Amino acid sequence: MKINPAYEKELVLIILYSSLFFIVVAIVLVVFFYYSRKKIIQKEVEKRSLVIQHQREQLRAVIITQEDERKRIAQDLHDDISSKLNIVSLNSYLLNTPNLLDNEISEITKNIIDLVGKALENTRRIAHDLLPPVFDQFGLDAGVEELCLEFICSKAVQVNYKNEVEFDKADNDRHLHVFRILQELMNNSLRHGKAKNISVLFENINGGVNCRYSDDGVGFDVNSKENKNGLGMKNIESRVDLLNGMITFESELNKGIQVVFNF
Amino acid sequence: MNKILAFIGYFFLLLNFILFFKSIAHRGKAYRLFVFYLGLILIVQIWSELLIRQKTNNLFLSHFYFIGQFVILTLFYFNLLKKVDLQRKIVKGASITVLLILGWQYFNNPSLFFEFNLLEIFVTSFVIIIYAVFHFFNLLNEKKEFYYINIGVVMYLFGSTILFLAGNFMISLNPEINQLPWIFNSFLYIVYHVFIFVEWKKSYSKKKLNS
Repeated sequence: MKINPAYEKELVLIILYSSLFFIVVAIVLVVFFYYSRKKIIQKEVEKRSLVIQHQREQLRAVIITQEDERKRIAQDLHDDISSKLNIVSLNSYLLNTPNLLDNEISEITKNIIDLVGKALENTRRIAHDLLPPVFDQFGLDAGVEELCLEFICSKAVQVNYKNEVEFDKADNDRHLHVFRILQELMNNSLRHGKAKNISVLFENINGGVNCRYSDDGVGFDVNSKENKNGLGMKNIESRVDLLNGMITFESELNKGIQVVFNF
Repeated sequence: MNKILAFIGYFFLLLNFILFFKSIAHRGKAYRLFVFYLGLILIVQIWSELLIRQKTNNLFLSHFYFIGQFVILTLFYFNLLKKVDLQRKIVKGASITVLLILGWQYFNNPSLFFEFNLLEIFVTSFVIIIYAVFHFFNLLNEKKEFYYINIGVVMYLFGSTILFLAGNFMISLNPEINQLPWIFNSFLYIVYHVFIFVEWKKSYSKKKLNS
């Protein structure tokens, strides 16, 4: 095969240029890869630091709540029990004084019995506040019912509670979170929301349990940072996280709030 | 000119082979396959150099080169693409198809053995490039593993495939100018091995610090 030398040169050039072209394509591919990778990794780092920040805030909320709770318990013990026991101990010393009259003795004893009774009652109340025995013994449904009754008894609010779900007592550890969430929500409705009516509903949805909570209080701005980062909110979110659930808040000023979460 | 470049290429090949071979003991399967690959091309190169000295046709070695490269790099990438099942299936399917097609072709036309087989060059390079792109894709959000080698493979195969495809044709051309593409190929080959060397330098030279 004989080819004109001018063509030969041309052909070799074509071969070289095609090769060069493909190399440029390869370089473009590599550069494209390099920048995409950079971008993706940057995005991932951002995402992770957000998650970490969120976790940190939750942890902070948990610690602060824990400290508050300790403070409250300490105060309760100090005010309601220690003070009473102090007087009991004083009275007991009095019993030791020689030549006491019979009616004095009976008065002192009556005092002691009264005070011990009150102290006992207070201990029961403190223990009940920490963990309601009804919840502990009869499960979530009874616990929530009692909680609602307590709120109704305060006469400030009407609570409408409805349950369509059979709760298993073996799940009490998880249900305690639900109980605490409802406690927090109801406290908020009463304290900040000035609600007149509250409704709580448990329903079965796709094998899971949905809890719908609503009130007719003053509501709040869901998007405001202040509300989002409040301790109560953080605590509720942490608990829903622990339950592997999802929670949505819907509220507008003066239109009450609707909260739905599943577990 | 071509001779000098070619020898620089051989030098890098030998150097890389030795460097990679030195720490083969504690490495994974993919690493070993890659060392095996370097060893295979080293043998093919030495052999072809010997045949040139004896002035015999060494073109049949190109088949060992292309098919050997194809088989080992396929295994290499098959190992790297562990995490994505679909990719592994594609690699398996494509490799078996390629080997069957080539086997059938040689069975029908054994004389192909003594020239450049264009289909073989095209298909083996093309498929390896696809595997390399898979690997790039997987590296997007992961630790860089065999990153520089992968760049080298993509660049060299993209650039050299067209030169080899023109190989048979260039033999018929004027010897004064038909060397040019081979010089270019030697140059690309050096670039390829520089990337392999960089991989060793970046990922494997500081082995003792870690262990």
